[in-house]
Amino acid sequence: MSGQLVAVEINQQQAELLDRLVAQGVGASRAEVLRNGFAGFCADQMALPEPAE
Amino acid sequence: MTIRLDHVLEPGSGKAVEVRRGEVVRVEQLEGGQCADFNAFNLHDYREFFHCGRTRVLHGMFPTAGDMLWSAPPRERPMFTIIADTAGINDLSFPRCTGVLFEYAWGYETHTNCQDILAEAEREYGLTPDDVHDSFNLWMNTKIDADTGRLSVERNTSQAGDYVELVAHFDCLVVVSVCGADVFNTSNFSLKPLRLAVRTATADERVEWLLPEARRFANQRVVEDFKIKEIRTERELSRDPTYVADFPGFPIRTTSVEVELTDDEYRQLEALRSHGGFGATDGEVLRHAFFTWCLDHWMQPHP
Ligand SMILES: [Zn+2]
Repeated sequence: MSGQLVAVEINQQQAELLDRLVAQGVGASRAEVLRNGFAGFCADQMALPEPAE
Repeated sequence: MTIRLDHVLEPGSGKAVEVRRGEVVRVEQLEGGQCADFNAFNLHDYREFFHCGRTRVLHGMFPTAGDMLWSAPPRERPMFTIIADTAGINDLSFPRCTGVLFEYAWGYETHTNCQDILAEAEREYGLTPDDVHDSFNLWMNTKIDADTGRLSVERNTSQAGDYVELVAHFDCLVVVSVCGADVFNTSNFSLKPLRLAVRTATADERVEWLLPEARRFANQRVVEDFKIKEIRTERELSRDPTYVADFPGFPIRTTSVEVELTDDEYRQLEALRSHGGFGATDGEVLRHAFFTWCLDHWMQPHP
């Protein structure tokens, strides 16, 4: 994957949540969980109906 | 089913009653159109009491049958479940009415008000006016303006025979007042009696409604969890010279996680950043998007 690296600052409590999501199979690592969640957010945004003008 | 207490609350009065775990307290309209204020304490530890705020967030401004009344943090556990509510016009937005309200609004030197009525009723159990707390307002027909957030009171639509029943999940002291507000719309500009009764729950009701006694979450704190277990007796506050701060989870430490995005994903991130409202840097935008997704997909909706 030739992509862009983005540095995300998280604290120990947020890291704990990420580790739980790793354990639940959302991604293989904290970085992958963050990436999959970001992709999920973008997919959710796409699924929203266009605002009526 | 046994009725253990059956009491008529005359206008201008209130009553404190013990309601044991598995008992049902019932407040009933005798004539209709009367608001009642409801306070509650843990019978074995009065420092645990009913909390409008937590209840409001979990069940909305107008709790009704099926909703629970919660105690204040840090205890934060269900005190009661509303098992019947024939009119469905209850409120959690207004504080109890007070003597000051009638004095500044109307110039009354003395006027019936829930603060004083509840205080006088709970004095039977040694509680003081400072122990009265904001009420669950039974049959208070309130509205909230969605734009301004201003609150208003509309005509009380309850009828004779309407009742609210609540089952207690632990032993409580319940204090109910006939709301003393007769120069506001709360009770249609007249004060009327109410019936207050306590009965045992039926076997079916116990099965359907009664929650287990054990605490469900470690953060539902009990006195044993407190660093100071005694109740203060002095009114004056003074500094403890031996105090050393010990905040849970402190200190907060941050780490950086490198996330590799595809070119496509990075273009989406750039679009979000230039759209605004998600953060100033790539990392902030990604973090905002990630935790928003977590909230939508991974948060437990209700305790
Ligand atoms: Zn009142």
